[in-house]
Amino acid sequence: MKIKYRVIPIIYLGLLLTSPAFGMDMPKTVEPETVGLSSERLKRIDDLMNRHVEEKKIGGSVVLIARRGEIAYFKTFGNADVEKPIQWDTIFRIASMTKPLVTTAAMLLYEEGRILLTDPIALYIPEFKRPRVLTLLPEGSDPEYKLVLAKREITIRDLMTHKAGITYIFVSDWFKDRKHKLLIDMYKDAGVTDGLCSKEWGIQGMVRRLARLPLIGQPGEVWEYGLSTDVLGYLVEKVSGMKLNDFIRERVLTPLKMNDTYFVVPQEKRARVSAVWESDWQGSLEKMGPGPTQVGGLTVCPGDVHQSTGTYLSGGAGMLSSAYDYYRFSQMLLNKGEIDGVRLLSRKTVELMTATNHIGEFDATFLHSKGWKFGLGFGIQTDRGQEVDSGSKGIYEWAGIYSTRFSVDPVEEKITIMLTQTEPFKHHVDLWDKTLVLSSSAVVD
Amino acid sequence: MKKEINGLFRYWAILLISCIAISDVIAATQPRITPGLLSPERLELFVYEYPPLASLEIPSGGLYPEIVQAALSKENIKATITILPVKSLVKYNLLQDNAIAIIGSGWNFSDAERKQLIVIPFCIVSGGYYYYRPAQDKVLSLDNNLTDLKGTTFAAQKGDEVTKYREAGINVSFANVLSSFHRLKGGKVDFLSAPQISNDWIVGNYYPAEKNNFVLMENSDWETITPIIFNKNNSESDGIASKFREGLIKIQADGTYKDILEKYYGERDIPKDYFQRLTHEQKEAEALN
Repeated sequence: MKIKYRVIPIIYLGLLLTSPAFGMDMPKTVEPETVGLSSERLKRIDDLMNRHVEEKKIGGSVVLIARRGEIAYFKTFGNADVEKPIQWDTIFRIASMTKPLVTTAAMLLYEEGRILLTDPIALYIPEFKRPRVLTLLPEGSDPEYKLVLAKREITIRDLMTHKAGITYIFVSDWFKDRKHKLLIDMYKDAGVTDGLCSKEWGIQGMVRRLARLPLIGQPGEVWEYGLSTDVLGYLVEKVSGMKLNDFIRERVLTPLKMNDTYFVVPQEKRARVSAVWESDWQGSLEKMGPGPTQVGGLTVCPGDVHQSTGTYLSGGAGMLSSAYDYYRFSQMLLNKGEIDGVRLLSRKTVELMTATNHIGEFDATFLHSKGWKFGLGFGIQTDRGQEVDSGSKGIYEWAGIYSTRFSVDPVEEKITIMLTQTEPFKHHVDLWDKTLVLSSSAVVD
Repeated sequence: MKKEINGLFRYWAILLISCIAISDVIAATQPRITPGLLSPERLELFVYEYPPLASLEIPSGGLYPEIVQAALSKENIKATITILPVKSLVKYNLLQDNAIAIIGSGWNFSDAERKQLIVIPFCIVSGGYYYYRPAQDKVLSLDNNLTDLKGTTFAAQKGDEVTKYREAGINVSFANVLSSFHRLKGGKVDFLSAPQISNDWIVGNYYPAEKNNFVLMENSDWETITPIIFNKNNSESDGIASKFREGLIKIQADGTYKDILEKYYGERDIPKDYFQRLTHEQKEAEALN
């Protein structure tokens, strides 16, 4: 009996140490009305999320809405894992929401005068010298294509704005044309991946192989969502002389106090990483295995998060983060480069990143419809005349393939973040659009 | 007179300083994408990535690039050897882009294509079929012919000739060499064909704890002759091919070739008649060129 009593403090200590709240309390939230939001209207988000959890469309979610620098809504719904409720500090695979972070890292080098956006990337990654463009020949030709020397070199700005002519394998779900098929087959033959599964080789090996493959279009003459930010991440390594994860930790995450954001989550925090749920949006919801699992053209490896040996630091898709951490990053952007007295980027740099004419006449239609442009690292809504439900002109946002989203509304000084871990990606779009509508509809001043 | 000289000196000094200043301004404002950056390599050869025969992971490029570079260097020829991860792109560079040469075997050239090529064997590689022992219920062996492996799945690279496997009732699955080893370990394919040094290098680098699990199938060993293939449509090919032949003889004579082989073969013995057989193969190929 005595032994049992002795065990109690040890159990208590163990629970304390493993508690998500240990080390940091949930960040303070304010009454929505104090920042011009309606509590009543924000409750509609509770209903929306609870309904999606009950209907087994999603396993769980975290939603955070902030305005004028204050968090007004920060709630969790459903489960992070089987019989394990989601927490405010649950860690999510943010996939392509890595891109704005890596672009920010590159912009730090830009601000130091170490790179120019107009620099050809071949200055830093010689393998990209003299790229060639895949040009189709009539069907039945052997070979089916010819390779044409690019009119100009790929620049750093091309990488940031996806005008480099580099694609993704998973876009085969969207684009069924011969050209994409041919090029994507070459990517597969070369062992290039979309960055969601660890590889035998590191980012250097992947980028070197990618550099040997043709482009889908002339640099600057095409908008093609692809592995460009992976290349940018490697360029950050080459210019800084540091591994990408070390550079981002030291120069971005630590100054912004993003303490739960990683390429490789440390062992002691892995229990906080959400599972990934496969949903048919009709009530069938199952926890995905460790992978690799094929979801359409996409290969995902949810289990890779438990590997300690992650050498493939994908600048386009490799990071994990929490809602609060990503809020801090978003708030820094909204504040034009600073948060809590720490200036990460200059106002001019953030203005450059959020400028709306980086991609000229192209529309960033991959995630959105027409009327969306692409800044340096994210999409920007520029035209209210197109298919759009909510938000303001100038809103910028991006998503992650495991169904994570963020949106920054500079007009309303409002940030909306919704994190889930749901595959396939396509289903959550309706939920996100509605969340944004409810977030905007809560503005009452 | 002195005044005149001083005046002239001043004139030239001002002109010189102005030129330097203007050139700096021009340099600072000139297009950042310079013609120099876009200019082609003088002599570029292509090879398909297959470690350690040719590898982006090896600073020297691997066994093939080292031998070819050594032979060309002996003749004071500077060349760039570009390693491509897609086999069809290597062939494309030779036939469509008139690259001066490519390295490697297994291209399935048509008769017409073969006529425009100069083939010079420069390396002998031995290999066999490998399987992953923990994934198999029984020991795989090749006692008689490929039909012994009927119903199994063979990992091939795109562009490989696989008719004989299909005719033997073997399924064929395509992936690049590193993925093929990964899939072999994962049980998605049953066996693959690889040079011994490739098996040793890949397993040693990526699966070092499983060295004994990647097993050479009994009676499956093979040998292949690797050539450098020059393109007669490239005006420089004849001259460079001749020089390469001469360089190859020289690096065999001075021991450079043997040193390179030993570096990659490690503890494995290099066959005693290796160079004799290589010379024989070169003579046979020369008759066809």
